[in-house]
Amino acid sequence: MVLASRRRLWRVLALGLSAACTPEIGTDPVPASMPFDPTAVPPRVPEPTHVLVNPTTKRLDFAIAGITVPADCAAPGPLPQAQCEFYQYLQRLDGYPTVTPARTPAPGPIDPATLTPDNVVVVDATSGQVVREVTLGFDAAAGYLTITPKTRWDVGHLYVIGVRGYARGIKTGGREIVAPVPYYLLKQDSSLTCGATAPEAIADTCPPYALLASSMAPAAARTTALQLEALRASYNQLHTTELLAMPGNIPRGELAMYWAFPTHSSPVAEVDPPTGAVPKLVDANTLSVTVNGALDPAKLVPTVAGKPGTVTLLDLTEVMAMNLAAGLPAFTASLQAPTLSLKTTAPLVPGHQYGLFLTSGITSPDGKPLVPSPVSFLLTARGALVKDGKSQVGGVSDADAVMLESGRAALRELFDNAAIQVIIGLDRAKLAYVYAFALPAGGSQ
Amino acid sequence: MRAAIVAFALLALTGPARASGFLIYDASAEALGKASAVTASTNEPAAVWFNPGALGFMKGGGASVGGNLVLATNTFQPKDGGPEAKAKPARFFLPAIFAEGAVSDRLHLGIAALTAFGLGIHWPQDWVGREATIEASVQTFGINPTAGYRLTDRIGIGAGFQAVRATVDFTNALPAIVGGTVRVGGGTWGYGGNVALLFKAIPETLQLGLTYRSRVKLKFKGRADFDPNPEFASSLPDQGGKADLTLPDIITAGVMWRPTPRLALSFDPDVALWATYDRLVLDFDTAPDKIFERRFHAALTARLGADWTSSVPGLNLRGGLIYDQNPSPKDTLAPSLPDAHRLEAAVGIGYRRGWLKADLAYLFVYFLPSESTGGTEGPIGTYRTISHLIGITVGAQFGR
Repeated sequence: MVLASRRRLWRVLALGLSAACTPEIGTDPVPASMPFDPTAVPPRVPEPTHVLVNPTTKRLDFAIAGITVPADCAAPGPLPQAQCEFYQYLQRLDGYPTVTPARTPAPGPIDPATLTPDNVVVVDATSGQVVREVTLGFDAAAGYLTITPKTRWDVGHLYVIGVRGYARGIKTGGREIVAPVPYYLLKQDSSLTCGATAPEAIADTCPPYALLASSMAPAAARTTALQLEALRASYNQLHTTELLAMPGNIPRGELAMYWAFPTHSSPVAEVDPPTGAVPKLVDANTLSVTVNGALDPAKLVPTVAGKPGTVTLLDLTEVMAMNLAAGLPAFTASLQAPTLSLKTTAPLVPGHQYGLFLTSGITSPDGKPLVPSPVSFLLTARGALVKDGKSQVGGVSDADAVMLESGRAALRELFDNAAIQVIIGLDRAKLAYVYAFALPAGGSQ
Repeated sequence: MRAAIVAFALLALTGPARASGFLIYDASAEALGKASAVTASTNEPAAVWFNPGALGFMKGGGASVGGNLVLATNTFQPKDGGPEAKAKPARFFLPAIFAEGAVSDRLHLGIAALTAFGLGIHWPQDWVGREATIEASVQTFGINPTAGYRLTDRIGIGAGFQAVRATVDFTNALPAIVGGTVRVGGGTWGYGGNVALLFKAIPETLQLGLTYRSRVKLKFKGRADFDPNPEFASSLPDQGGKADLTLPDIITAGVMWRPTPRLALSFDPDVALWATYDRLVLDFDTAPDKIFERRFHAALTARLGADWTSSVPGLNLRGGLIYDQNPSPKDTLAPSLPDAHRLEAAVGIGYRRGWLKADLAYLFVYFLPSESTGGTEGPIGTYRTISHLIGITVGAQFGR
């Protein structure tokens, strides 16, 4: 007791004399933030995003991102023709192509040990399941964390992606990575406009507005608050953070970044050689194509000379030799979901080059037309995909653009040849699948 | 964006505490017992602090050691009827050491080492004013070498130099949407001086005193430790900073009248010229400056004291009253120092035997309810404070 009293006495004495010492004020490590800058050119935001789906038309709409897509891509304009055509193609879809890789800008190279399926989670919101067949990576050139489906996304599904940061999540150079301030706001439980639905109705004392107004003009802060609130509401409507918490197993507080995107609801036959999404030569008479989504078998109509159908097989070697009769091998088309099979009457000729074309006349049972995958579309584009060695289409690498451009240029001769078109009737606007291949002399593909 | 978020976060940052409550004038238990109304009557080693003009009249030498134990309770009642907040009961000790000695018949030298300014307050982490203050601490330690000279048998003068070491340490909550806290701390030295006069109109019966203690400019250098939610950490990096604070000029006047040989009555009107604290500028290394308007005004303190020499040899009984004016306007009143007009009552006892002297005193300080009306430096509502000072001094005096 006496000892304790003495200790207390010394403590109060020490307090009195402690003025001589400057308080020790520590310095805390500063975590990195996930970049999020919609105003950058190009915007540094997670992609693809549901935000670009026009709520009225239910189609992708790049005007939402401030990109005006001209109606006539051939007319001189700020966009390369191929880019313009590609935007037009995407704007006809009600979601993103099923081979679209997802990505989000990162503050630096992600420590490989932290780039794990536990920290980067994709949830199929439509099925409520975690998607494990994805490849995680870091694009050092672009500075993006990438999430690529090992095969493809399912058509007509909504996907939610979450990146775990903070103490247990991804790191860069050993530093924690946390959510950017806008995403901190998006994770709030309450309205970012304090319930206001018009800019002028936002109270000056509304905390999120006050925070935004500390870095921008009041009018801009009000607009930004409304935009963020709309985004917060849309994420809530999609149950984004709930899905990432369960089954994604990333609590909201640990989310450094999250976003959602839908895939288009129309069926598609993907062309994506790196993932093996190409026609298969089953035997000398049979080709098969895997289709993503259900099809109506009644809509599979083979093209015969002078009577274009929905499924066209061309012997390009014969066609280019203007031997059009031999250029249209006879075949039947059948469907055993998810495989569409073409069985030719005569064996395919080794060493010949073939082209397989499907049109949007093929539909799903509920009438949704088959849509092209990006590669199929780009092969039918009128504008050049490469200029001075540089890709003219955003999201397509220079190397891929060069490769696709050679195919596009070869097919252009086919599409633009009036004499050939009279016989086979391939209309660029209706093509939903384009693939050309050479049958090796040995007969395997 | 980063600088802007810093500025936003600093909207809530209060400056160092300031006010007459931060000045604790009562540096000895003998003085405290008579409400420190001693400008015209000090006759102890603490004269070095209270009126060095008295030193030239003192014989021999002396020294004392002691200080004040300060106990305080603070509460706040929001105007909107929310729950009352209670600060953690404050306890701190302000030491004081004095030594003086005659160099010649007329010249006397002395030195004081004391904490004349100091405070500490600790509000709950979740109280309504957390964005203004959670913890606030100001501590000073001054060294005051002084000389006193007896010009005539009735007039003594004194002058001194003071060096003040000061530290501040404040913690506030950041705005709720940013989360977390910011702690700001720093230290500095400041310098000033003091002069004094004692006039013995009728020696030991009617005396007058006058002192002036200069302002002390404190140029704090320190650091700010921002600890917000991690999303704001890159926008709110820990950083250095500067802030200037000027301690006020203090003028004390006093009169002592001894109606009977055993009873001395004294009255001191003092004024602290707090207009030195018009505004506070926090100058951060990277963040924009943050300016707090304070608009303090001079504050008057009136002290009445009585010292009765009992019939018991060496025993003195004392008492006193103080009225202390609040220098802070209502609209800038902040919870780091919820000052108020004060009514104070003191009692004390002293005993001397031979060269040894011991004094004990108690001061009860009642802060009148103090309204905060601004809403920018803290919540709107009413502060109530009660504090107790217990002073104890032990000294030795030789040759007198």
